[in-house]
Amino acid sequence: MSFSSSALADLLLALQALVQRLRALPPGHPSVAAAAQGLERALGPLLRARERLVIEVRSVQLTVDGMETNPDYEPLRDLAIHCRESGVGAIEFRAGVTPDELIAVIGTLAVGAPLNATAHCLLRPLLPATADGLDPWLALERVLLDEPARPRAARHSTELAIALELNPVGAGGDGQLLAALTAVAVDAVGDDAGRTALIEFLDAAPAPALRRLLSPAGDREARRRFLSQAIPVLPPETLLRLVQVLVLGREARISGSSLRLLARLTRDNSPRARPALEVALQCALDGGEAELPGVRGTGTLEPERVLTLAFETGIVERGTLAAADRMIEQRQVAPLMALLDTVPREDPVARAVRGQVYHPRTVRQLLQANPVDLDLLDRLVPAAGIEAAPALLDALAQSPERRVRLKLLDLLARYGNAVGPLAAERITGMPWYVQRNLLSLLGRLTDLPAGFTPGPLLSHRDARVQYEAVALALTDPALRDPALARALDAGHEPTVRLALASLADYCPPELLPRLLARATDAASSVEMRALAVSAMAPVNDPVVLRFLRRLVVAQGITGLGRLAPKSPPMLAALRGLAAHWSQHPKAGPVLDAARQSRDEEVREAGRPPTRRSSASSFRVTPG
Amino acid sequence: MIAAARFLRAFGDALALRQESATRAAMQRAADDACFARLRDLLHDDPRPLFRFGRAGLEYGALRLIDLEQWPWSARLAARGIERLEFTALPAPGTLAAFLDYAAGLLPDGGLAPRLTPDGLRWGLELGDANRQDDGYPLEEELAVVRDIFRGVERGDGVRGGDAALVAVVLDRNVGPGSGFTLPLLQVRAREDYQPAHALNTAVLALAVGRELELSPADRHEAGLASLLHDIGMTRLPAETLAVDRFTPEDRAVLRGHPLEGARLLLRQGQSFESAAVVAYEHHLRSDGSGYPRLSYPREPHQLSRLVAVCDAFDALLAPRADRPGLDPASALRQLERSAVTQFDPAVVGALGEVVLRAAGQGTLALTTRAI
Repeated sequence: MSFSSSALADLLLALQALVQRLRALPPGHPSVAAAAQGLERALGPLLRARERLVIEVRSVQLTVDGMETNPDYEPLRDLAIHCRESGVGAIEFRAGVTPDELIAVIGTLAVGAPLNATAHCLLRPLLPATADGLDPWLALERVLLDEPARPRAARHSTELAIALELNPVGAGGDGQLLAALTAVAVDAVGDDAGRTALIEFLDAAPAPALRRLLSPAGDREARRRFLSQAIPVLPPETLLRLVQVLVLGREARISGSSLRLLARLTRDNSPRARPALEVALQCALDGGEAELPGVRGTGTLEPERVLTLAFETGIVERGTLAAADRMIEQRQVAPLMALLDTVPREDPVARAVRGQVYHPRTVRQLLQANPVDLDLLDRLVPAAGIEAAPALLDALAQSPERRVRLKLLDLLARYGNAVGPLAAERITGMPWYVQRNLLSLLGRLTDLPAGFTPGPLLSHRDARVQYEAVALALTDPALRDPALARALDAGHEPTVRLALASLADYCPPELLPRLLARATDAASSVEMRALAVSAMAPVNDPVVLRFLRRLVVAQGITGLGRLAPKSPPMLAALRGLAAHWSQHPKAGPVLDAARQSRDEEVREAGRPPTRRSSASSFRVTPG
Repeated sequence: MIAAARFLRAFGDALALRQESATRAAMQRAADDACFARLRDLLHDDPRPLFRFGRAGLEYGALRLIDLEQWPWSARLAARGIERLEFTALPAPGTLAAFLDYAAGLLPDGGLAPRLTPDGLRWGLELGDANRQDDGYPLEEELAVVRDIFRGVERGDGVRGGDAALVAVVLDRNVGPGSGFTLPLLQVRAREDYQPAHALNTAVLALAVGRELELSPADRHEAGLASLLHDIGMTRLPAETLAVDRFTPEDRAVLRGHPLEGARLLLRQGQSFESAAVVAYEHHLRSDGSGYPRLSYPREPHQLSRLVAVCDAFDALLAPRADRPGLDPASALRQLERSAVTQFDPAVVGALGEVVLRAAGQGTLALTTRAI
């Protein structure tokens, strides 16, 4: 079904109006919404009778439903060119499209953003000129003559060259042309007829058209691909032509005198012509951005020489920094830093080089050396800043050497709390030894990172991780008690010892059963049992008093007591009684007996502490 | 667009105005003045521009100017008997205007014989290859390019990297196997051309010695580039210092600044010129620690610096000075050999000796004596 040309014209004009307003007005402007509604209205009758409607983009025209726009009508001509330059081959509308969708999709076309699509509106990209297996000359014809359905190549290459001048497509289309020409050049290898045709095409193409095709503003990569394929198959005369095309605006690199030299070599069929033309082409192609072609030797220039030259001349450029990089890559960090040490700190070249050297990358290089130079690391890390911390953390996880790991922990701890989040985020999922080191690092910081809790690691299957988790948890009032409970249940003696030592300050009464168990555990060492006794002594519970007395007093057959033989638990119990239970009637006789002992250590343990804590007297109550 | 194309466009404009009856004299004068100015620019770039006109287009020297392929005046000038047009000097404005009148057909046909004005404007029929200008000199264009490089730096334009790379490639082929002219060296008669000619000679020698030393092509290329630019720092020295015949101690002190100036200039050009910068800085350092500049970080000169130092000294010995004539190659070589142990790299001096003696034996050591 076809529609009236006026309906289609209304549609195209409404589309053009929307694109124009989207380009000119800020998002959300009422005029944009009005234009989108206008386009929706224009689409309405057209989409009532069909599912979808496609506007195809030609070089300077739009086609819809078989109707072509007038190439001389500037608004639509400009719209077609803009579409092609934006890489849009067609615009598709589907029934149900809304003004918001139109703004979202056509907006990307208007501002040149990546092509967008919604359920009812989408932008189809321009298809590449050369599909697989397609005759490259046919592909070229299709693009140049803007006839995508052209069945076979029928034009002479010189005619196509003229068409190149007439083809007004922009950068996007030139990319397609270059792709087609690249395919032609690839085909020309070993094909004399194809090579001749390519040469004829390039020789016949007017200079301005070739210049536009190879413009630096165009598709740089497509241009490079084409030239790299074409140069080997083209004769010097054509290469000279291309140099002339490319050199315009690049006279700062290739002068008129060079062109004359190239022309002379070309005319004389000199064997020097081709290499010289290739150098000229590359120079002209790269502009001022890339390195000169073919001028880098085999790297005999030592980087240290480049750096010393920079220091002596006061000139720092990309190569200076690259030289520093090379020294780092070659694991010459030590001589590099020694060299930097000879230059005053305020020297601008040295400052720039230091910025390059005092860098996480250098730290990483240094850590990859074997053996690791710890002294150098010690100098470098503070200068490289916190950005080097990830490299250190990586090395901490990987280094097989204990001395290196210890050094890394030390260096990381020097960052202070700033390293906390970096360490904390790495803990989950790491091997136990990494987790242990990270927890140990966190334990050396004054504050734990926000949101981090060692809670889940309190039940880690590895006792060494548990130990570090307990150590961290003891600093957190919310975690202290559960951490102590878990630690007292642990079979890992250092963990138990850590918990018992921390209980000297305050022991929650609910831990008493665990402490009693520890204090009576025959499998534990006497030192551990003594620690448990000391820990429970302040707990205001008659059970504690009875337990302490039982450790201090040996029960005879008559029931009368005398002091038990001296042992670490006995002394701990005696100190506990003296410190926390001295006012209790049942403790007094025992303490009196201890103070009369012939053993100096026992007498000392039975004396009240020189500074009796208020807590102890507070807690003691008659049992 | 290169200077030749700009001149021809101005030339065409001046001709076109002559053919329009309504043209006012003032407009024509302005067009003639523009044409004259463009010609002056062109002669600055190319001292002997030669154009050939025909129905098929035009050539500038050996170059077909692709931007003027559709230039309508080419066929018309040929039809007028002007198949070639050459400038050997800047003609007087009146001479140029008269020629424009003639070319536009406003003066009677003067026949087919080539014409030569006293002030350097030559035109006439192309008479085939026999009449083709042939200077017989193999490094003419190369010298022009190097001259442009030096002039560009003097103007503050920076180093034309592409030009330098191009000449290095061409020279390397020059001294390569089967090139036919192993050591074409220039002798300089005009002071202002000393630096470009010396640069070119040093490069030719360095490339030949580099081959003798079996340097890789890439290293040879770096040697060529570095030797072309080794004295580029001279362009930054006061012109009055270079203009004297005999240098005072003060002049010599100034001259000793050229390695530093050259290295700075080249380092600013980017990484491609790193080796050239090193060579520019080190080519006056000697193996025994003498020479200049004074190093903050004492080191042996780089191998390319040692190579260029020898070639630089050899060419300098060939050139006449105010206090001595130029030495012949054998004497210059002997002098270098005497200093080889203490000042120069003996291996490089030995290789240079091999190259020079071989070239002399083959009769291919060409000391080109034309004035430039």
